[in-house]
Amino acid sequence: MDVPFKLEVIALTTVIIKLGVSLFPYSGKNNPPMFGDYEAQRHWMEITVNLPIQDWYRNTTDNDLLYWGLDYPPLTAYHSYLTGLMAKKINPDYVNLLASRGFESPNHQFFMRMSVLVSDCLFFISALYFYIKNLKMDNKYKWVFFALCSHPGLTLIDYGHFQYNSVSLGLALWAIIFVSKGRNLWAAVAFSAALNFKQMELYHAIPIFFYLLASCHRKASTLMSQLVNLIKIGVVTLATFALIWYPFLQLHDGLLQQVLSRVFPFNRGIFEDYVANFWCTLNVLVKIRRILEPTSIASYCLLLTALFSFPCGLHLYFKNSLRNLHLCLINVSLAFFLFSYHVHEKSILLVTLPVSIASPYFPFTAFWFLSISHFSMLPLYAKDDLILPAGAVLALYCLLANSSLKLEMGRSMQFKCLAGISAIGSAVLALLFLICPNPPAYPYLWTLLVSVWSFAHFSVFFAYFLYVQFWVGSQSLKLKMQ
Amino acid sequence: MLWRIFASITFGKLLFIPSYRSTDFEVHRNWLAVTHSLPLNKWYVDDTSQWTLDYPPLFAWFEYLLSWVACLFDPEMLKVENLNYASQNTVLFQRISVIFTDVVYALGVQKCLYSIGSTQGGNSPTILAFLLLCNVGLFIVDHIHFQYNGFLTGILLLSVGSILQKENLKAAFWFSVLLNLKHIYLYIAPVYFVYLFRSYCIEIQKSRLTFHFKRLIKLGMVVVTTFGVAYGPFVGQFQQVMSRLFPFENRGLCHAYWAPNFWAIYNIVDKILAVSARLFGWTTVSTTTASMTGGLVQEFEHAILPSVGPKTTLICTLLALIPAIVILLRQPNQPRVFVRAIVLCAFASFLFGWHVHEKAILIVITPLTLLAVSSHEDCRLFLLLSITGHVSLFPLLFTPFENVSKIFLVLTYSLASYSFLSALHYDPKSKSTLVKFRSWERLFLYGLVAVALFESFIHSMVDPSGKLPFLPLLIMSVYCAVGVIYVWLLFVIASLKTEKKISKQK
Repeated sequence: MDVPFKLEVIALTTVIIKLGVSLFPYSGKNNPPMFGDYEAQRHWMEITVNLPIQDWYRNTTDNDLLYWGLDYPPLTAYHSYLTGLMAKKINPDYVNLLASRGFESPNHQFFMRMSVLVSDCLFFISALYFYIKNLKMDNKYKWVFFALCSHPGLTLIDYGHFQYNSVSLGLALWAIIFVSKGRNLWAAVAFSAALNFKQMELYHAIPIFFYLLASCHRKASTLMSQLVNLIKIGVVTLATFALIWYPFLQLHDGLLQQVLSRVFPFNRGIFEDYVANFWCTLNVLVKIRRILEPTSIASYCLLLTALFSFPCGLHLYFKNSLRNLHLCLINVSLAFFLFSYHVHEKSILLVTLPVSIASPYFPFTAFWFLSISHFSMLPLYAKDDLILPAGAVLALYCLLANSSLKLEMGRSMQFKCLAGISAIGSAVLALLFLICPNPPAYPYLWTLLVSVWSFAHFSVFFAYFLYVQFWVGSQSLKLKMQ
Repeated sequence: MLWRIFASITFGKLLFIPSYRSTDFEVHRNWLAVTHSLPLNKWYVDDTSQWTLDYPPLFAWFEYLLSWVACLFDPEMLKVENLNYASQNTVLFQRISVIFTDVVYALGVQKCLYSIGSTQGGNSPTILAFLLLCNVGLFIVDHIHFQYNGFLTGILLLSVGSILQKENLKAAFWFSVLLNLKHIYLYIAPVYFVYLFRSYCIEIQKSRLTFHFKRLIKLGMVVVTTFGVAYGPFVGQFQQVMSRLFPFENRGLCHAYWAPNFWAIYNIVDKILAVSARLFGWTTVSTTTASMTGGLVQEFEHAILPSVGPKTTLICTLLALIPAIVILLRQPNQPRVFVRAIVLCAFASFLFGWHVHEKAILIVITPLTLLAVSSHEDCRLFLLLSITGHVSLFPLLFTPFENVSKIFLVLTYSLASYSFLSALHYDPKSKSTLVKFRSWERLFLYGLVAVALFESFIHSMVDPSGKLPFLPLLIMSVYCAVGVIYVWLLFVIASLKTEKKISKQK
């Protein structure tokens, strides 16, 4: 008795959940003067619609870069432009130059939330649905897979806090899909687009690069044809970049440098607030910001990140397979998250994408990781008044993805104990965070504990994923959902 | 499994707490205030707010109990003068009270789940639980629009479940409780009367009739006691309570938005005839009746066809009830026949009743769900009715967010029910994996999609200034009425047929 349309039903259900979350507040709601990410996105629509393209990244009288200046690459700016045009048509007050700062209304919230939903459907949900529909997997697991990939963190950040991660993650997912179908050129286009939407996609760049490099090698026999393949990919990538950056390449009056300095701001500190990575946790014991210069901190970041990323990339090059691509994506992005410069807690979404895509190999471990990544953003949800939807979506996630538990049931007693401790600990910590006030001596105690607890989990997961990539042979790592 | 489904849908309901609330929200807040702050003798008298108490006493007691919990959230909502008070805590409390009382609904579903009996076996309890607990009509009306229908339907299901488990006294008790909570369920009271009289009080064995007088007394006692407990404190103001419960003035044949019933079609035919008469000069009848787009007029004077008053609707309803009575009398003590009769009765009241609300379609859909898991024909009719009925609820939600959500909600539920029921009724012989609709039924459903899209989006795009505000409602109501009447006719035929088949076997 095979239920038809089960995948479609679960896809529609995730949309309903997203619509529900959309009803709740966004980042910076009712919070002048700066508001939050929602106002930033609205402001970018205002800037791109009203100002000429050369001024989008430049500090001018009309464009005060200190008030949410554009700091994503041009594709985000074009996306804001298109959305801004629609906004202008619906109600010019949404994007009036300077006058619309801090504009808030229920209809505007509806418009903005719908823009996220439309972008999500066009880029991410389409990619996920297409990927899973065409996968060689038993139908009864496909919907669990879809449910696992629609994890709470992504829903809450995009539809709650307010961002457009679904666009860049969707494009990256399309790149993975193209790569798995052997269409390298399309993959290069998709990934370049993803990278030009959010520069954080660099987290995924190394694995994609090494995979494409190896596939050039694999697809052709002679050195000449391999080189031709490589050149084709290079040309396509450069062409995509050139097309997107074209308006900013023309004027050589410092415009390109200006845009690059906005997109890669090295003057910002090594971390902001509390994030579950290595540096923030180290900072608890050793106040690195006081001891070291920013430039030397930056070099240490580079060193550690490279130390973990390149071996994974090289391993992928020599043992080129899709399984290794997934694992390498996980490991490199996790290495970047843990060790690189100026990491936001939201950057965990770049790790959650490959983990969720690789979940057929280890459904419960993936589910566990995705839940912890949701938990690690608890302070952010609290700031945005999103605790109720965060909790409800997590509960729904646990109920829907519950079947994944049974799929990895052959696990030992220790594993189940560990999982139980992790769950109980997280629940207790969440309660303490929400209920107990911070002691005056340590005004961010609970937030810090949440970060440290999450970091502990991420490090252990990191060790596990490295172990899986390097030591577990492909025979033992069978697809659990088959 | 039932409680897992219930937990999931409960978390889903939590996500819709901030959505649009209708005036029903203020209605219930007012009732919380009235029952909490005023003495008993003022409950049915107070008219500080226009939303006076018009449900029976047990519901007033229910609100009274809730008001003590409401104290903990925000005592300000319990002040009668605080009209339209809607602080964050008030909204939170009221929404959670609806979500929480749905536990009664889950208990009702549980009672019916295993006793309905299914020829399919296997997964049918799970699928039935899903279809009932996640019913999107209840979701829209209870958790967005705001009402307590889940709670009430739960009590109805407890009553029906008791009948299914042959606990007739319990069934009578639960139904009496239900009548004292919301008197709209008087619509299906005839079924109870006939069934309990015929199947419980009378026994025919080998053409020997026994009348169990004692059982009749017991039934009477249960009903009278329940009513007594409910109305006891209000004995002094009985007249006043009745006038609140049955306000016959100011209520027309149809609600502002015509429920998709027979009278909607009657109205539209009348309008068409009137317009044609004017165009072709058939008669000189003055068409002073309100234009068809002035939907707020509730008192209807039909132009060409004879005007319809409450007595006419009563007679039509009673006539439509005949099939229900017939099957109950000819097949006593068959719980499934009882459920069929409930559906037939609910249909009759919906299609021919006076001043029917579109939400009443849920009283037809819920019992029909119980039958959907067992026979292929009932499953088809359930799907047709639920899709049509839920789409007919669209005009209840018109704010931007809810306009989009309602489409996804109804689409997902319809697709899910279609998929699950298809898998359940899978016929290995014909190898078809999907429930089959006739070609005209499929056409109707495509048309329904067009009507739904017109109501949600297209109308506001084509007519932004709102010159014809009631046009989409009119089209929706008439189109759905066609669907509802079609399902009714097929259901009547199916009910009489089954009944005939079994009596032939005897």
